[in-house]
Amino acid sequence: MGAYLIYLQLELKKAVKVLPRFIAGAIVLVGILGTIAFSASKVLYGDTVINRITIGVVLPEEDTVARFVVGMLSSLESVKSVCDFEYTDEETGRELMEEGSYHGLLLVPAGFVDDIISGVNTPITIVLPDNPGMEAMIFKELADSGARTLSVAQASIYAADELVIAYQMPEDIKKVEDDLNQIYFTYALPRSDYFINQKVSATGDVTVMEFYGISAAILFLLFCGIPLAGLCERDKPVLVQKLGSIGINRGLQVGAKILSVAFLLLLVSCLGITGLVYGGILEFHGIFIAILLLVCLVTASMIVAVYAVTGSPIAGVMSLFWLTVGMLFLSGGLVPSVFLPEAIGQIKSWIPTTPLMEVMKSFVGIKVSMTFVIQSLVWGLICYAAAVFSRRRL
Amino acid sequence: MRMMVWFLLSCKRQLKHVFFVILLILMPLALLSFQQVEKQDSGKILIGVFSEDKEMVPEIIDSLLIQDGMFEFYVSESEEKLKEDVITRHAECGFVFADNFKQKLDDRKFKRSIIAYNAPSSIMHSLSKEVVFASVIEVYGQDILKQFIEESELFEGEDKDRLYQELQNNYRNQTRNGTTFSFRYETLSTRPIEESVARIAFPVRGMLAIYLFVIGIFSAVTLRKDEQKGLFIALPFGTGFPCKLAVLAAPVFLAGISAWVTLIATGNHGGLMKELIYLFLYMIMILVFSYVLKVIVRDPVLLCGLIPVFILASFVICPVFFDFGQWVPGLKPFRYLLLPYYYMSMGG
Repeated sequence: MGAYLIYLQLELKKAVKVLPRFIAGAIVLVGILGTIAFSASKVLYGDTVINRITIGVVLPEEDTVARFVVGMLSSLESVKSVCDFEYTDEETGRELMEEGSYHGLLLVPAGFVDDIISGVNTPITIVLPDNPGMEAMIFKELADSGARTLSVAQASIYAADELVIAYQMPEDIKKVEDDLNQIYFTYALPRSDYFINQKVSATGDVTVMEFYGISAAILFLLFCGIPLAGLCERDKPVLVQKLGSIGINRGLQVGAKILSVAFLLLLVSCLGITGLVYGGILEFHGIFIAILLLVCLVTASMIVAVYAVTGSPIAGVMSLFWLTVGMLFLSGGLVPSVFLPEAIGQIKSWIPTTPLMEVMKSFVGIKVSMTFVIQSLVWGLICYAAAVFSRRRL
Repeated sequence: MRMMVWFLLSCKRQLKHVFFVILLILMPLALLSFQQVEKQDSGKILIGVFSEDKEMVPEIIDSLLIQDGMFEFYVSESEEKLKEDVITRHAECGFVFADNFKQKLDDRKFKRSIIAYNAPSSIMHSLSKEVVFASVIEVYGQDILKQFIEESELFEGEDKDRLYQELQNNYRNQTRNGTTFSFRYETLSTRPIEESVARIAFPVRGMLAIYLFVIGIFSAVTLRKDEQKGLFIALPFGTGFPCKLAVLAAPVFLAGISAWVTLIATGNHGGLMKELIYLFLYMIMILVFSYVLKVIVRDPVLLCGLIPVFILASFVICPVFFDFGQWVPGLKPFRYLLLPYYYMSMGG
């Protein structure tokens, strides 16, 4: 026991040696994560987490009426909350679309407004990228919905105009159109009033911002494993043997490594939590300490296992990078899971970051489920076993 | 010649690590598999609807069911089931129409007549309301004509039922003859848009750019450790720098080949040779950047500690998943300090 404690002390000393440089990098990381959290707090379209959609508009030359109409369109609440319209020419617009600066291009035909009035209605062409991304699809959905609403009003006005002409009252066309417009505005303008929002949630459901905050924290902890490549790399075979001969078997050796990594992760996590509590973003509860310990131990176990199994620092760094990105992507931690293939949702429950993220919801007031605590511990043990087994290969 | 020997020996040193080789092979396979899963998915977001109203709402629901946008509407068997679907995230959100919905519209007391169930993590419910509203107005549009006939002074004394009948016929003709406003969609290469899908594809190019960047910096860490061990002491004067570059280049080159194969396999490229040239230029940039960083930050531990900083900064500032620069404009100038931005700009 005495020998093991001395060995543990030496491992912790190694960790403390890298601490100043590790903390320096971690502080910068926390700063970047704070930026992500601040950005995620900006509501763009309801609670939608999407980029603003820049749309290029190509108007016929000197058509001030068309410019006015497009200006009105861009001022609609549902449009302006998501889209920015920029006026340009077609050639420049297509170039900017190829560069990715524009998500779409609106080509307004010459005589557009006159055509609406006369009933010709030359369609507006919307050019989307060859591989339209989410923003382009959302803009298309908005445009289609707007077009459907507008065409109902148009069809009604044209129908009424036809009727009035048939009844030999062409001088009343303007009045008919005004009356119909008035009725349509009554129904169409306050369309958000039709709906009453009811939030329904399962126990453990969190807001988008809270979810991304938790996801960022897991990302941070796992990426902290990259600077620890030197600390986690395999010990020389002769050292492993010598330690074994004085009673510190491979299991205890791996345990000491996990504890030293967990110690570092715990320190930087405490810094982060202190900052969040002091900044009024989180409210401190005693359970934070237990959860933090659990999360840091399990994450440390995962990090040590990656380096142990891969056998070299560079392979460990590569694996940690892809595993972290892959696991968080599959858990919906990088992109909202509504945008992921349905099949991916079924894999979610088999990923180690999923129970960790559930456990961390306790930081935002959600009661900790023992199921997820046990799942996290199981993953920690699996990673511990993998690291010990890899050591046996030496 | 010496530089080439060092380069080959460094490649051999990396290839001796079995897991390094496994990862180089696995990366294109894993991303290709994921892409196949993405392709098989319908790409639609499920939205539930329910109502016990028998008068007009079934027509609205029929209109929603045939929509061909990014949403796929379905009829839930009950309001409770709909709520459960939203809670379990089977459905992104759900809409329940009031029983006397048409009456409410006729009386213009339509406020809060559609319940919109959504979860705290729902993000598309606001956009789906626009689609629902469009269907409501499409179906109710004809009834608005009735109101117009009733209220207009122009038709006093006329047979209002006959007028409404004529107006309805005119309206149906107008909606069918294509004279009303519409948008026409096409892609940059003038192909028609095939279908609307709501999927964010895994950003293969962006992730590979960051991955190579990380390998480059870590390679600089390894190089610095080799320098500290005295690996280059015995080299003749003037050959140290090229040999160090060779050591630095080996893992980046090997990872670059794997990245190129990944881009080809997943179709994320603008041409085989073009992509090869872009990658080659990017790897040169990585080598220069990593070497200069190594010279400035001489401590390998601190250098290694900067890797997560560069990773997260690249995620945040060179838009890989989201462009955070649009919410924090002050971040945008920093993208010029991050190499992944240049590689992503190369591909367009």
